[in-house]
Amino acid sequence: MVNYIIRRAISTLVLLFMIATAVFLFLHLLPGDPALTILGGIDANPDSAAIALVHKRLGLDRPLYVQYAEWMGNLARLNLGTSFTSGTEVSRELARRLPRTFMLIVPAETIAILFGIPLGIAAARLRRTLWDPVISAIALIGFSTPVFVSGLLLVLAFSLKLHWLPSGGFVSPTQDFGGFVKSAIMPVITLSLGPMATTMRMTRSSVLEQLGADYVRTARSKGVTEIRVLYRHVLRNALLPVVTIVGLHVGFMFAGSVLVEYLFNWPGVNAYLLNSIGGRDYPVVQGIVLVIAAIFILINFLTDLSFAILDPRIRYE
Amino acid sequence: MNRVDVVETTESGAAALKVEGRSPRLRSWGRWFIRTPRVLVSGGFILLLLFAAITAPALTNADPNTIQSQIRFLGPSSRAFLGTDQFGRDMYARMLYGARLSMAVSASSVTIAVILGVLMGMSAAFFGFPVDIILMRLTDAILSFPPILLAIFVVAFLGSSLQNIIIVIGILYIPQFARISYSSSLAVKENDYILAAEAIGSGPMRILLRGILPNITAPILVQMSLSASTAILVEAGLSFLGLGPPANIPSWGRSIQDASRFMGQHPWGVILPSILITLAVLSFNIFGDALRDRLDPRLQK
Repeated sequence: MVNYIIRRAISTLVLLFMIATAVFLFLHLLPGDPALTILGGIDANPDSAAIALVHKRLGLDRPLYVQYAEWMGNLARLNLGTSFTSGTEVSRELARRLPRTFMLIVPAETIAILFGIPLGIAAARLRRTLWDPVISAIALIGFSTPVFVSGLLLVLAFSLKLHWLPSGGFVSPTQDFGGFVKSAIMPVITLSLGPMATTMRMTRSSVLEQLGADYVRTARSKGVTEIRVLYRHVLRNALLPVVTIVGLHVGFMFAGSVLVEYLFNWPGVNAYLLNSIGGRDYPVVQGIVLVIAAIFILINFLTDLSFAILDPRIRYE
Repeated sequence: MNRVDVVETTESGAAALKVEGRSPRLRSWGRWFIRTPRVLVSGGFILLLLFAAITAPALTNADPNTIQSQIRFLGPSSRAFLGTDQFGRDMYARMLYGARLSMAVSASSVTIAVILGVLMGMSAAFFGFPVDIILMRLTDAILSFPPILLAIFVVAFLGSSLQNIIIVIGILYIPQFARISYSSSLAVKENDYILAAEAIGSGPMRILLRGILPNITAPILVQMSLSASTAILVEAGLSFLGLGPPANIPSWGRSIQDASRFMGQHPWGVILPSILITLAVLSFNIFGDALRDRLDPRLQK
């Protein structure tokens, strides 16, 4: 087990190194000059002396390998550099914005699990009734609706028609908790619908698969009640694959939160990324992409580990 | 399914178009299509979208980009069958051409992903070490990004031409196909007929394309339908963010974005494209699920 963790940690570092290099090369070898954005865009038509000055100030006039070495050296010290346009430290800005993105992702995932698993169990138990196809159809619709569609429909209903909730914006929870909850309700629900549907589908098929297993027949023939079979025997085994999906969701949530943050004007990590890409703010884009990839890889790793802890049959060597 | 079967299907498939009911296999697929309600509905909607995409100019006289300021914000009416948007552009024409964009993007990007992904997966399985390590690590690297983030990243730097969007989405879906064909090929590779083919001196290309490929088509077909649905989602998402194809190409996602600012006074402009995107994605998902049920014998209980 310890061996496995060490090996995984090393391969994770290698993967991150590859991604860091790829992001660096991608940004620096592609057309587009951050100096132009700083000097007011292509339309402002700055002269070449001004551009050269900005390049010198940002260190972009040095050879590529020097810049690469500096970027890697700083990374090793967990320093993500400073933004070209605002001059703030990237890590400081990320520390401010990451929690806001997690304020959407964590409650959304919690809602997805709290509703998705019971609905999945219900659909499996009601297998031969009309309820199963109804629940399954709703889940399929939930998982096929784009987040910006469900988000806009919520805005239409609850802010434009009913005037119950603000249509966007962020209120800091430390300043005004009630306002924060109000501003977060719609983005969180929007983000939770897709994962809720996949959790439900996964739970349903996993429970159905376990219900066909031999140990269930044995338990039933011993006279164990159906409820007990389901909750004491089946669920323990059926929920294992559902755990993996929680890990997968984090990816989905990050992807979904790009659109949700944009739609609800939520100042999280993704909004920061979208702005910085437009302005060719290299350090910010590099930093965010790396941090998101790192979170992603870390969560995959934790998912694999939790699998081993939950299922004693799995032994990583 | 073995190689001979596939040759038979394609030949008799062409023949069956002329003489109805020639091939029992084709007939059984036809029966499946018509008699399975969810397949008929979802497959029918996909065919309808494809038809609309191909024949869009013939289905409407209106130009999707013509601005008519005197008839803005119409609902469905006699002036415009599906109403008009905030610039008075004909919604029916915009939806038709939007279907064209959606179908073009998903068909071409899935084609790119299938060709590259399947080649990568099969070669990784067939050649083994070290080809498998290199190719599969490459797919891991793509998978370590949330798909739409990678798309935004690439499109924002390379520009959002239609071509770039198709290529990006295509690359995004390579890993799925690579992984599926890798694991299926590993199993197929162990069969005696592959050994036999090697023994009589068939080259690797021939073994890959004629020995392995026909035997891994089932999971690939299912994945194609599911990937087509997510490709529609990614294109719509990019267009919604304003990072989609140029403004003169009508897009459902862009229509939603444009109309959302006027949603309070004219919700129809948001609702119509929203319904279309959702139905399109839903249809590909349902069709993919149904195809899996039919092709995967383990699930046919």
